[in-house]
Amino acid sequence: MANALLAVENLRTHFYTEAGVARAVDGVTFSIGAGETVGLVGESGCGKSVTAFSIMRLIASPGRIEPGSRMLFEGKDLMTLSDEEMRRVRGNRIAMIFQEPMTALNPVFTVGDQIAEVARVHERASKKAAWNRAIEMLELVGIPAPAERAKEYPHQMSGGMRQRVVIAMALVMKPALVIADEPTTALDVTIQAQILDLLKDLQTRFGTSILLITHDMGVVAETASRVMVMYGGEIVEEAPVSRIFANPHHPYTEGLLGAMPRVGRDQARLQTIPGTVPAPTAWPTGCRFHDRCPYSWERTAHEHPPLYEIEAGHFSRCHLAQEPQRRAQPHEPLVVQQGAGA
Amino acid sequence: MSLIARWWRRLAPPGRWATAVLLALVALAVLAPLIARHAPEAQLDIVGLKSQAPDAAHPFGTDRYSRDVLSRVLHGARVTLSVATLAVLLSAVVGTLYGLAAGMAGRAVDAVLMRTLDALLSIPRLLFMIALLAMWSPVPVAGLVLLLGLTGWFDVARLVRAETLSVRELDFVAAARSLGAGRLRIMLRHVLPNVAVPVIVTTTLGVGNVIALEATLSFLGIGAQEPNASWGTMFHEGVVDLSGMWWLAFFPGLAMVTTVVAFNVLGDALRGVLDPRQLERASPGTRSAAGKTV
Repeated sequence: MANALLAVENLRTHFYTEAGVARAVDGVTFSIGAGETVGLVGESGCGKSVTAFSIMRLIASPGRIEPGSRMLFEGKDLMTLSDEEMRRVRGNRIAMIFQEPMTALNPVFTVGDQIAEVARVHERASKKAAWNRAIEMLELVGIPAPAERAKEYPHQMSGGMRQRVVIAMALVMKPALVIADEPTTALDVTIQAQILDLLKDLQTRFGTSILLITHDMGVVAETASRVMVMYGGEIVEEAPVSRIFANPHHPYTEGLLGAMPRVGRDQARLQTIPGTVPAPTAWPTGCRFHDRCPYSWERTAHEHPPLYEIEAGHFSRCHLAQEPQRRAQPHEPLVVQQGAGA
Repeated sequence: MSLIARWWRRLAPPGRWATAVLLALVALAVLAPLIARHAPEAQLDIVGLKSQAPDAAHPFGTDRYSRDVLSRVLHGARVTLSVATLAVLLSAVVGTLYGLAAGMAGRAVDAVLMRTLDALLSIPRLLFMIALLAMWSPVPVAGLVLLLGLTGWFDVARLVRAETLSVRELDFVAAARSLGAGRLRIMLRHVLPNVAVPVIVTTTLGVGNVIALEATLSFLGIGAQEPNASWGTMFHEGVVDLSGMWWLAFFPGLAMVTTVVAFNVLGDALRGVLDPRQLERASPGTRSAAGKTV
């Protein structure tokens, strides 16, 4: 995409552990347009959170963003910024919303204090101005009686309230990109919907781009326009949301959709994907999903698939693109036959 | 409600008693010049009032120089309490900074700092102080504070480092980073307040230790020196003169034991109060699950 707000090219983030080199993110390329919401979906351990932290350049030792990774944001390669320049991007141009609203807030400060801190860090705003800004933000995210609520501590608020506070903190500087890492996972279902509505509303108002990280295809359907499915440190399928639901190509995406409960579908039990995400220190050879895949054959075990274009804007990292007839012969995945990965 | 009021409400009764005792002791120490009937050094009547047992005029008796023991104990509180409190505060500050630095720094710096600490810990504190004080005698009160303070921060440093290592992995620290907070801000604003609780508890418990240590040094004749006699100094003199004059050692000793016990009881009680989860449960604004609002 030419006018992309963020273009990530060949992002590789590896962790040098005693157990070996964990290639948590291993050659991820994608872009996000201005005002666009993109979903990044996958199981725990597939590398979605590491991708998010890599964009923020918040990867701590023993992790490292490998040379050759590029992250073009607003015309600058984030990789080339100095630490101080990068610090000024964080919270200012790119902000992050965390999963656990309880632990994402510092228990010893009032929520107003914490929202105000962002303005103080980036604008050197006066105490008074920053505090007023905090109240403004609380009102914006729909917290009633914001002037009083600002003086409360995180533990005095409900989970949904706290998540609104976390969102308020992220939006203080009206960032161009918000990375939301499982923003609704820790919340009750009814509150999830409210938080998603809030995000959508704020996005239309400010024109913010959102990278929405989740394991929940339902959340993606609700919010995103485009979705990327991640597996084994790679993007395995990328498509407009409507296409992913209508015409999933990668067997892993099929599995994710099958694992999702849907109204009006007559099914006795939800499907599961056998096995677990393999260890990032030893991705399987060939296709990284081949040992859990019901269609795997000789080729998939040896030849690493590229991203094939299935239809316009729809890519899949699966050899079925070239040998679609194989889909007719599902079998027990290798991982089950080996009894491994349980 | 202010934090202090909330703490007080959660403080177990023994902790409240200990606080009351300590506040009373501090008041006595501060007001000593006003309430003591005599100057601590005044030799009242070297012939007529020498070594008197306690009576109405001298409730704690007099020593062999005819000095009023009650007045001396009251003034001794000033020395003992200020030396112990200042020394412990010094330890807390040094230990906290050292521990924070080690916990926030990278692996290499942390390793160097911690091995240095191991080396320091291997020096026996009492022997080290005896050796130093043998060369630096008579030691001024400030010197005593410095020595006690600078040899007492090792445990605090370890504790703070351990806490820092766990706090810095918490989400709100990552969140603060993701919002553009710099290193110093992370360390002082996000980590420090969250490691303060164990420091407060250890420090409170530490006061008792330091009083006892100071008494030991004074007992050996190398602690606080006249005219700044501490309880330990008095106890030492009393034991030297122990031939039947029990009151000389008993009253300074009683004061010392009371203080040490009070600090230890308070320290234990604070541990219960400062556990943030217990604090949360008791706070008025907490809503029940059923009453959640969004």
